[in-house]
Amino acid sequence: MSKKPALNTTFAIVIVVISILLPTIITSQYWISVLVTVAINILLVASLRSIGIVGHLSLGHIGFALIGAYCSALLVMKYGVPFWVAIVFAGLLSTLIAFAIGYPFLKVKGIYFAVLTLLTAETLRLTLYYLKSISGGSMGLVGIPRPKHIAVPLIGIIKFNSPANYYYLVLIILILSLLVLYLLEKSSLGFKWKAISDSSELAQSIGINVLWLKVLNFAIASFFAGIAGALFAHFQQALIAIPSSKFGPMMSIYLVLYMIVGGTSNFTGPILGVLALTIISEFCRPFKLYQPMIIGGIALFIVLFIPQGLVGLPNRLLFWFKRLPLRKI
Amino acid sequence: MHEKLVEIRSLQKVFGGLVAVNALDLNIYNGEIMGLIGPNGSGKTTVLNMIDGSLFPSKGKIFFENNDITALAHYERARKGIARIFQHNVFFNSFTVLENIAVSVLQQSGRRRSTEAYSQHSSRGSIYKEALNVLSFVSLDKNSGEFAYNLPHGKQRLLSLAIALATRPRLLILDEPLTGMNAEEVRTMVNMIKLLRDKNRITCLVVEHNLKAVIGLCDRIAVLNFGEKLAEDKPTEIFRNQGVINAYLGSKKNVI
Repeated sequence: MSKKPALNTTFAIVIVVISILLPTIITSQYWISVLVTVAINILLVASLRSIGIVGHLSLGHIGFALIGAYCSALLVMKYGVPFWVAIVFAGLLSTLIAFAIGYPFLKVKGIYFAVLTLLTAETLRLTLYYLKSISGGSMGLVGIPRPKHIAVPLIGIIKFNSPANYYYLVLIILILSLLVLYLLEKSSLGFKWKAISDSSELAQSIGINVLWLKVLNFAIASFFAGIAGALFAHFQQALIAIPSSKFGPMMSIYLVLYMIVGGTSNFTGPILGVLALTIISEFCRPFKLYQPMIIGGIALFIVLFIPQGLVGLPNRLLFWFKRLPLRKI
Repeated sequence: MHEKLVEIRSLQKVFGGLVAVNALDLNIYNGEIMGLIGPNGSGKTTVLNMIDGSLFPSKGKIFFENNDITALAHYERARKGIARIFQHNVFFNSFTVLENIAVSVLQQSGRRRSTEAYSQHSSRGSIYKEALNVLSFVSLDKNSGEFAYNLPHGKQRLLSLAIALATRPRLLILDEPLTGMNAEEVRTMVNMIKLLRDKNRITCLVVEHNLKAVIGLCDRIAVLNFGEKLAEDKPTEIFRNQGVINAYLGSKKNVI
């Protein structure tokens, strides 16, 4: 990856161009709304992967999306705050909560952190569920408005009522977020994050403030989770905090699954992981009950045979190809 | 030469019911190589841990350059100039040898000029230049592109030293730096530590079981036994001390 930055840039541009053209190729409203979900999930998985840089696995990343979703929805609905302000506040509230819980949580290691985050996400979800005056309880929160139309010079007035336009909004935010996360990872801060992941003991001894940098990493990742949650809320226009919703424990597992299937070595991972599993699960819809089972089976296959995830697929294919007997002839 | 760099006052560390270190007073003077020896379990590493901040003492105070650092965290002490080489080889394993040093240099330089643009994959900037300087000091510059875990043990020890040196320490704590080294490597390491003292004015605190090397290396030696200081003197005197011989050395001829 480090050897061919020019190739990577070209690759990134190609992906961006394709994703811009997609709504013109796919005209079905349903598939465009699938694309919106994919984009939101990529943002969630990319920020989850960003926590992985310091060597932590969060099983409660969806909790921060929950905070962002409700924060933005309530600000817009109850206080009439414009969407563009509310979404920033959604990110900031997630960041604030991440700071508050980051200090105690990030002192513990490995699996304990994962369990703590899982429990936190569930606690947040249940708290909101039972705060009926805020979340509407089992009725949910309905009628969350789409962002108001904006006037852009040259293009004219853009309305966000159509999925395609909302898709572009999500896409722009996603690209900006990925760019920020990418630059952070390549910055000196990212360098130190990786050092912490390798050995926090050694990192301390060369003067790195390990806990602070971990909390900072957690807070930054949570900011993007909050943004993703807000985007989801205004897209679905309804929120509910029941276990089978987007914010239930299964979603936390799915996020980790997307990340592992895609691969964590670079940013293509989350994109590939979310895309592949979403497409597979969409085409498995006719199998109804067996849908999660098929996805689970595919994930198992990938983890066992392509441990680097889909990102490592080209290398893996080359490896298999070299071992084919026909090479010897 | 004779100003105190580290002053330890009635230091005590209790683990549950076990008193690991008790009523320890110890001064380390600027520009000396201080040895800390003693039988296994005598509390040497615990003392080191309390100096570098990975453990906090139960009682007592530690001063560094006349400032009380007892309550400072590990990383804060590292920033004040206390570097440590661990007993086991520990590196940043996803980094190359050069990057291992670079992150250490970066941490220091980042505190000097935090705004400097920096990219991990570009060799521009003064950081890699400085890292390469440190590497050539321990003569590992030929290995700069390798991964640390692929190096032989002796070179790994040198790399540990280089990582510590890149923090520009005032006090270098070496926890068994010579373990597992052959005679040639021991000589190189000993000469390097002496060079650090003479040329870079780095004060060293060495815990080591290789007594032959310790005698040649250290200016003064303190002996610990059951967490208490048994003796503190010049090397030649230490090995004549009857208490030390009984507790640690066994008999004189084992040593020299």
